Amino acid sequence: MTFGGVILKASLFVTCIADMMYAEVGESTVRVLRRLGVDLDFPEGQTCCGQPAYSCGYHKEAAHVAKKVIEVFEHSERIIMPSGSCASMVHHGYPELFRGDPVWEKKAHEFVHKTYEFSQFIVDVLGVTDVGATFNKKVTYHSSCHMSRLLGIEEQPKTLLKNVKGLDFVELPYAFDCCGFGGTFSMKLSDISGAIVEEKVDHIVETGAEVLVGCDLTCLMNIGGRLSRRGIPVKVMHLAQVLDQGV
Amino acid sequence: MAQGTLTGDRQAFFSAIRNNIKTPPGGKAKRVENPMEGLFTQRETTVEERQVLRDRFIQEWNTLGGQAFSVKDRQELVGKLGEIIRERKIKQAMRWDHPELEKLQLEDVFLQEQASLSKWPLDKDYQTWIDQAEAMEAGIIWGDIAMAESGTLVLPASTAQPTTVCILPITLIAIFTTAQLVDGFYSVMKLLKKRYGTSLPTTTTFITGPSRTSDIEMDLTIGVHGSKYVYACILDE
Amino acid sequence: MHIEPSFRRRYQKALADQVMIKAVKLGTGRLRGKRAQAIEEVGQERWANFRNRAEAIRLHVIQHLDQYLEQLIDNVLKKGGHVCLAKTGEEAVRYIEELAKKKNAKNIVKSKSMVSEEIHLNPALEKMGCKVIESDLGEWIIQLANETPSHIIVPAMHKNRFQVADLFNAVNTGPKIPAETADLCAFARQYLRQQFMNIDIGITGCNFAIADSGAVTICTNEGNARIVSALAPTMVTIMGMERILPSIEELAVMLSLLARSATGQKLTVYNTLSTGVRIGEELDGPQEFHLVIVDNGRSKLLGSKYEKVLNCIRCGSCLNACPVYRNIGGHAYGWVYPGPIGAVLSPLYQGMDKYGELAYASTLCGACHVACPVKIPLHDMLYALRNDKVELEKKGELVEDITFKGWSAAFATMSRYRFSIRMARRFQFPLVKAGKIAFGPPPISDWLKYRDMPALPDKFFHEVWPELNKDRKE
Repeated sequence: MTFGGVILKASLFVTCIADMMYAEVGESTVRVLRRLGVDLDFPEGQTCCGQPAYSCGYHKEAAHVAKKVIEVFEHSERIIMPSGSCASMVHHGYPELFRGDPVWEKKAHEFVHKTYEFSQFIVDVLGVTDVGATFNKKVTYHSSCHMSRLLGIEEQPKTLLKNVKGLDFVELPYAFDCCGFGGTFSMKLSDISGAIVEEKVDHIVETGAEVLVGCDLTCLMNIGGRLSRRGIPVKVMHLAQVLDQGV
Repeated sequence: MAQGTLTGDRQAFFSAIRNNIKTPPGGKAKRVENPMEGLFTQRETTVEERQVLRDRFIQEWNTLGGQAFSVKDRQELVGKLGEIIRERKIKQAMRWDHPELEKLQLEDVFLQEQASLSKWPLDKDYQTWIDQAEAMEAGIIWGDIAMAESGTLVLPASTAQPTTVCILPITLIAIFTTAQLVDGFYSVMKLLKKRYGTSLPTTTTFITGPSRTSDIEMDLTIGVHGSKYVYACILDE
Repeated sequence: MHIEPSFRRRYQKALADQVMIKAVKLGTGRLRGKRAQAIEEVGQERWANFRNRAEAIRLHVIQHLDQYLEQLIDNVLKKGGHVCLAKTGEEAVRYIEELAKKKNAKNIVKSKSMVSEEIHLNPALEKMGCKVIESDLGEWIIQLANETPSHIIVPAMHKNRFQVADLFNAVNTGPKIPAETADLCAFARQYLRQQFMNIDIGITGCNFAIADSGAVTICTNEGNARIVSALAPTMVTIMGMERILPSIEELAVMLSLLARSATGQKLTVYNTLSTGVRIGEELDGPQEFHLVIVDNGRSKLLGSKYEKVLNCIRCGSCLNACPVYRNIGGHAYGWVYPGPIGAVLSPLYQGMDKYGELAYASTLCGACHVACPVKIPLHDMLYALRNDKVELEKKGELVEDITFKGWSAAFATMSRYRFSIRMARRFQFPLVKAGKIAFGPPPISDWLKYRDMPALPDKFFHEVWPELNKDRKE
């Protein structure tokens, strides 16, 4: 597939969480995008977007890492991230981190303009709503906070899911409520975080879905971890993994 | 009237403010001109249109837990009032001293029902009128301005039309004609501005339905402090 | 981030109080639903216009606060009202104490005022021997329970009707009141009505003061403020100095937003616009009116990056939206303002040292920002407060300081990053069982208390990439 006769070039910023813990999500991301005709590369040198430090108030440390990221992707035309909160770290955190910096503020803004979250790229840039996948399961979708509230990406992932053949989509009650992860919040205030994720899991169970889909791996790790601890057999998958099924 | 007094160090109080207020690079935010523009409906209404507003008011008021109805003339109003007096078992009520209410000769209606209707002021002495007012089972007022879209009575108070009458009794009966109806806030505020400028009456009360609370278990309960039973009788103009 | 044991104790106590948590979840759920319904009715686009307008109105007022306050003060004085300018809470309390003494006041009836909670007015007046009664039903309940509000607009949200019945029966001299809402409200009406009849001084809060008319607006659903201001011979209104609007036209916008955001109503039942002292032959309304304008830390926020927090109209919708508030209730926050707005206001008004940790009592989910009718960027402010805590106050936690310095050094270089995650994979084996980790040492033990963690896989993505990229033509 080409877009107006041009093959789209893009770079994958896989994010540290996918690199470290969910290589299969990275793989699915690559396969899905390539199937859609995107010429995807994976620039060497990439690490983490800097969000953990930024969220804890360590802006200097976050900026140090962010600069490295900006450099790594300097020559990329488009950057795709399979993680909503990392993409919103780029969109909202980077301009904030470098505000007033004569060199880096401009670079940060350039970086922001070419960065897309995975589902946003497919629906809004490629204009594709059906990737041709088949998945015969009952599926529900958790809407991650930063992705929906900071990036405004709400419908794109659901549109893609609803167009998967055989997929029985069921709305998650309070889908927009936070899962309780919140980075170090989940460890520092683990009792509160535990109470919040418990509500989320209850809502998921209510739907009767076999699979919970999300676009943010940290939320999925949190919710999946609780499902696993409670012994609930709901499978947790990233959107890319579902779109990679049955093709 | 005697000017009030100011306590506290005005200069110090204001220098703390002025020293901190900054002018942002693009200049301070300008005052929003026409703040209500585009947010509320705004129209001059004809008699026919006000009948639509009347129906809207009735719908809103009833949804809020009040009872509103339209009456063609005094005779129909008298019938309705009699029903209310019997339904609420009202023995004594008070009313505003208002020319429109005067015209309706409501005292006769109460007499017919073996009840009494007193006109404000009940008494000049504070303790006396307070005790009397507290004993009143209903307050009757003229709905000076009625806002259809939210089911709201707008009541500018005055010597003859005090707020006490519309807040103390458990039953409130508002009477007005369709000529009093406006669509929404835009028209109300423009009307108040036209009428009073910045010299507002000592109190202007906006009443939107019966007194309510959800303070116990979010369980909506009517009539905790103000009126529990609220009636709006809308006469055709 | 260092979490003080005191805060930890408070929220753990809250988490353990199942009755309270159930009540708070019910309450916030109801309010949230009603608000959403109200917005649906208004329409998303018009709602967005409302919020933009309200934000613009508040922004202008805050940047011209001196002018509007001057205008308000002059107008109130002109209409015969007295004004007290209180730099601190103590100054405000002292003024009201002296007034109570001068009036030889025995019975003081209040309608809801968050500022009065902020300045601890009730204990001071009670100490002088005055009987102070809160007339808002929720406020009265918590007064009887000797507690502080747990929600800005539903102060006794954390109590159920059985607890309320016990509190009411303790002051009730008649037959026992059953734990039914209607009976409880009927008792409150009758009991509190007696208090109104003997009122010496009435104290109210202020939702909005109107600068060009010298008026104060008080909004209540119950009508208690209306009764206070009709019957009290002396009326005191306490306002935070930022609660001001230029004219009644702006008021129309704010009242429409306030009611919908707070409870989903089109308008609060009683909105009273009062200019204070009765005039001419009027028989009701106060003979004396005192407007107490309180700074108490507000002026130092002007011109700062936190200035927009002064936009707040105290609707409480950020509380209902907040997953942390919904799970711990209001008291755990420690000061009078709970939830996201409290997590920002408390450290700013009361000091970073005392309440800085509240900035971390958030998942940073941003629901507060979206819920706010005047568009306060609460979410961004929580980030900023965390940064202030770390950089300006050097109040980061040692372990965390070291962690993030190390993290920053390692994650800025690919080779070091890859080396460190490889090391982690190599040494995780004692913890891994069937592909997941269920037990482990601090700090991951905190995570593992409620959830499992996937083990680091045999292959990282960057180790898989060469295989994936085999067929790609450069």
